Amino acid sequence: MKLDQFLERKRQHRHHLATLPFERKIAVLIKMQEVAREMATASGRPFKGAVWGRRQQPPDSSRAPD
Amino acid sequence: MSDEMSGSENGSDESVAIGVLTPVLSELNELVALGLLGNYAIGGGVAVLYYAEPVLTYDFDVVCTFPQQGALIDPSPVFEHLKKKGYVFGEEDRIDIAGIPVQFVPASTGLMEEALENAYGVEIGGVKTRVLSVEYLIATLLDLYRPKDRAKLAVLLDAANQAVDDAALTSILAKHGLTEKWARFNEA
Repeated sequence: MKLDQFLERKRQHRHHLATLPFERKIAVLIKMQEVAREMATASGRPFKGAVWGRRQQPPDSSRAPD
Repeated sequence: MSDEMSGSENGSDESVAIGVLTPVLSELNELVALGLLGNYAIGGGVAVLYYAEPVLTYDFDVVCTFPQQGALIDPSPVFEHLKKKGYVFGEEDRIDIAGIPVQFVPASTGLMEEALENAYGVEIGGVKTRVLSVEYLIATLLDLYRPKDRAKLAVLLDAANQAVDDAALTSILAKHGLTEKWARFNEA
């Protein structure tokens, strides 16, 4: 795939995500949080974020996003 | 992000999301009904997500007013009420309500107070709530202007540009002395 095609496909996907209903976006966000947690666990790093809907560890103010 | 992440195949993920969000929103509405919270609206990363594509965030920021006695703002009745209900407190006064780290952001006078007054009423999973308007959200992010705020601003403007009322935004920015900052951001 050429770079311009890739960028166009990415732009369309972002547009699609932006137009989803709010509840669906929250579902996507929770999946993103799960992926972030899995990536941290797989690399042996402590997960400093939160996966919504699960009882959280005491939050850490040093976590990156937000 | 994969297509699987868009959750477009069925509504089950949506139901899960509603199940996660509604206890928090109901709790916030109860705080208002009890007079412990003056008013509130969803702000921060979740408000950005309302208008734009999902971006990774962990906190649920609630812009709010607390009942006030004179010049003193006292959020402690809210915290005491939530503590009695068994909710867990973390750093920076984040409260884990039904598995979501909620952060109460007092709407100080000026821009935030005005943003809260002009927030939109919406319904999520059958629960009424309010979210900052896109114009005030842009203004508050521009006002804070930390790297994470600039990143959110870029996502927001990219996705929700057509939803922005330019005249309203220009007026808000001028009123709160943000016009030059806005020009600098757009030049960058």
